[in-house]
Amino acid sequence: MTITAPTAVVDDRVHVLIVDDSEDQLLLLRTYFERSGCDVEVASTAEEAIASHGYVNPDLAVIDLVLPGMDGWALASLMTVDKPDCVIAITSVLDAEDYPAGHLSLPKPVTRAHVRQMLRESIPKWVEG
Amino acid sequence: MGRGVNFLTRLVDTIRVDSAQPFLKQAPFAIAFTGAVVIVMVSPGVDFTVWAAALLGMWGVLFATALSALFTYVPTLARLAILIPILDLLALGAFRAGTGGSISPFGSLLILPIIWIATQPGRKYIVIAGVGTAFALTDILGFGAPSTNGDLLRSIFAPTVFAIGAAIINEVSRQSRVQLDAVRRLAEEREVMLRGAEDYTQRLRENEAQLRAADKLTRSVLDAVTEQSVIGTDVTGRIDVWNPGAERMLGLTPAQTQGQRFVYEFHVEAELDDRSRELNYPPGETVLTPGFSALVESARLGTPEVRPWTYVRADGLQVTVEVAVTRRVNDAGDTAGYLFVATDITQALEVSRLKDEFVGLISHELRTPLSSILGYLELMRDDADEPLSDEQMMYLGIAERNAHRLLRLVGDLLFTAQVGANSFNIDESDVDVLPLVRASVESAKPTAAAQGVLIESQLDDQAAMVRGDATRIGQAIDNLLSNAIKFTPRGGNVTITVADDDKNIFVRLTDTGMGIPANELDQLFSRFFRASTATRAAVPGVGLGLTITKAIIDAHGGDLDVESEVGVGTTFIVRLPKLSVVAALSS
Repeated sequence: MTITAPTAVVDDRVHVLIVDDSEDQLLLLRTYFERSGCDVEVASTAEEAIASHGYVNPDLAVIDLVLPGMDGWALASLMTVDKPDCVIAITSVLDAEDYPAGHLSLPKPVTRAHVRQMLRESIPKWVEG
Repeated sequence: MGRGVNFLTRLVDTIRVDSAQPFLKQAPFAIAFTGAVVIVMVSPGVDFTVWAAALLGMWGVLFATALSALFTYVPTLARLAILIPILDLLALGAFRAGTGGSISPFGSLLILPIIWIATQPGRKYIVIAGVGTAFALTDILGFGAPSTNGDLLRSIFAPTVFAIGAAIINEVSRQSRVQLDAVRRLAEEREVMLRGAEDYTQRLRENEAQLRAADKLTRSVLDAVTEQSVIGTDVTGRIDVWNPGAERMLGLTPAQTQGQRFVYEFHVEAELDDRSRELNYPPGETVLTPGFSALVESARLGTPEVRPWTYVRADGLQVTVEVAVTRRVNDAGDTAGYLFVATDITQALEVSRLKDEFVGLISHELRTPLSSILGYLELMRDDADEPLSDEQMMYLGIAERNAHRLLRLVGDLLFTAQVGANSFNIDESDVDVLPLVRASVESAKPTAAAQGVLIESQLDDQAAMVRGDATRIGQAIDNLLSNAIKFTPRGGNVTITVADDDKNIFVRLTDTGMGIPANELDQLFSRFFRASTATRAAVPGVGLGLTITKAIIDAHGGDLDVESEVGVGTTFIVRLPKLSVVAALSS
């Protein structure tokens, strides 16, 4: 389990980048995280995510595995190297054994309780509210 | 045809001395006698001296000849035939007396009846011949001139000489008869033997025909099997049967394999090696080819075996086959070789793989929309800004419950497909079964309460450690417990206990439910099977729970047992090997 070192930034908001090719899921996840008090950026492909503003300094990346073009496994391993301070959570309908190792898991169907539990346990700067 | 054979038989009988007909025997004498009569009448030197005696003699011979004809005609009187030569002798005596007595030239005619008498079997006929001669040479009726001393002498001497002659003939004839008997016996024996040999040949021929018919049947059956390869070998694996199915499957003709190739040459060597290792190198018949011994080990011990193997074709391609191996025995009951009947299962495996792949794909596709449904239902419920009314909340609850049920079903379906494809994973660790059972009971309590079913659990505090996947074992117990609750009517109860012995942990779940008919118990664990009691009572379900439960328990090296009585209840018993036993086995 990767624990991010707290960044020495004045910004105390939690930045979340969500990558999922299903618009319904994007909206759902965005709502969960926003209601939990996070800043959310969404992208529907890996390529779009890398090009987005949210890729600059995310605290948490929520990545779906099955994506058009570059898939979730590739994006997760890229971000592990590229953004070592970012916590990565995998969200998918696939079985747990198909998930890439070493990341948090947020299996679908995602519940609000699960989202908050993950934030509480893995993002130290998140303040429950 | 029949008549011809009859005539031939009779002719042969006639010629055979001993059974010659009296008339035939009489004929030479009668002819000679007639000749004598003609001579007397024609020759000037010989005359009838005493007419009465001569006539008596002629009548006598005529009578005797007539008798002989009668005896011939009526075979039952044939034993009286000896009277004919005696009568001949007497008639000849009279005729001789009538043609000059002692100077009659016809005394020599005596020899014919004497031979007849003498050839009869038995010594008494020598005496009869002697006495008969004496009568014939003595003019007892006194037709001729008074007897002189010479006559008297002749009547003693001549009969004696004739008697001696008769004795010789009798003896010679006896001996020839003995010889004839011996020859006849030999001939009969030979005939019996010949007949025996003929019978034997006939039987052999029939047996051969039967064998040939049986062989032809076997061969035609073998030849008709074109979808399965049938290969026969001796005990060392050398091929001696190679049917058209084998020719088609492996690409070689019988001439290229029979007597030249060994069956294990068509197997993948690594597979044989693996199997051999698994069986701890069985001794078998051949030490040099442990792979072959492994291949036939089960059949050699008397149990036919069906296993998947890979055949290698002549062109190097591989075929996945299911091979049934059986033993061939000889007349003495010893193993004479083996038979390998193989079915190509490549296509069946492919179909099964495609099906499981399809199910997997569909399951994933179903999960995505279900995830959205559940997520948005939850959002609706949690919206603090616009709270829902109680009624709306109730509707939402129903929608959520059904969506969850659908999600579980999809999960079960996916898991079943993985079991079918042998691709589900067991995430192994040391697991205590007790907390899993407790958790299952806790989570089942609300449902049970809603259904009016009481759960009784008798669990002590002793840990029940097994090696396995906690989530899967939990899933198995959940399945059994929710089944028990589902199939138990209101007011009933479900008892769950955990026990152990030296080697195993046993989890028993007993319900007071509707039960399962005995004839359905063996199908209970097949995919999509539902007991008739369940369908009749309209208990919802698709028949995957037990399939999954059994697959999980099997994958842990345990087994799932069931006892049931319709209307009384059902008990499921989960056996899982204890951790200590598993550890001992793996070390």
